Amino acid sequence: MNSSMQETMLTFFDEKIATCGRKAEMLAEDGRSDEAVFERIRANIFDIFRKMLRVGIRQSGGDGGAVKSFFLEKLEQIPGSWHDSRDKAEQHSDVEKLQIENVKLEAVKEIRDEFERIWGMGQ
Amino acid sequence: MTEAQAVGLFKCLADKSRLQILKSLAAEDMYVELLAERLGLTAPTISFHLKKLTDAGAVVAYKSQYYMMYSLRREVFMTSILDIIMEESDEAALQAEREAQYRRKVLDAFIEYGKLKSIPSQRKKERIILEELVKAFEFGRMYSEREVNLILADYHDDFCTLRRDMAAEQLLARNKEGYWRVRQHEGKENG
Repeated sequence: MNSSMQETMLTFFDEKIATCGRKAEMLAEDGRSDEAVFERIRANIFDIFRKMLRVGIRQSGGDGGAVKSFFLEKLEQIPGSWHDSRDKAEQHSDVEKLQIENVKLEAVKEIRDEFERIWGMGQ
Repeated sequence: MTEAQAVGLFKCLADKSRLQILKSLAAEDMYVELLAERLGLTAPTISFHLKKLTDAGAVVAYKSQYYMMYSLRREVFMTSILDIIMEESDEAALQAEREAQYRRKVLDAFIEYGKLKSIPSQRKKERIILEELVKAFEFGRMYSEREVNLILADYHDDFCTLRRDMAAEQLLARNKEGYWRVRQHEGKENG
């Protein structure tokens, strides 16, 4: 993963966080506070992985392959418990928790898709 | 309608998406996908809002062929706000309600899907948890220590602490033959 790909990924995160923040504000102003919370949760997920990418870049010492494997490992590791939590919520028909876990996992999917797209373009 | 129910209902109604759902249900009973299509929201978001509306007593669900239909509880909306605010507050009932709410909060914080996440360090909270867990024991039946352990192990790995603390809190009593569940007035009299 070269530095231009890293920059593209960081820009993706910045844009996503800004968009979610704007949506959350609009929803809150429109009196849809729960949906605003979902957007803030999405923004938090993008922020977590933006931080992870930065950590990977810092620790890799310029090795693009190391950044890629570090980030992909985090993409597996961090949402691991969210999958369990979603499955449990589904089993117990806990609609509220299910919705929150789905929002988190959908954001992770978006990140993975974008990461793979950017990585694929650079091959 | 109690004050807590009224507060719960008003909180629930203070959301534009939920008001839109109620407006749709005022016209006719609907299912999740239809509401999602009409209101431009995703089906999971609609389910989330319907759960809140159902919990607040504003909506009721029923099965109709393949669908779970949702219906407005019109009688709730026939109550005037003036009726609600003119209703006298019963201090004892309010106290009981506050206690029940606190209890619920503790149970929700420590028990997830029937499993105890951790044993509370605060005695008051642990007592609430133990009172809930002791419901797994029948009155008038003698349990061996092994049976007690097996029942408590369903909730938490540290069943020994739970068993000892239940005895210390006089929720379970023991003699040479085993353990039995103590009726609360009986425990207090003995204590």
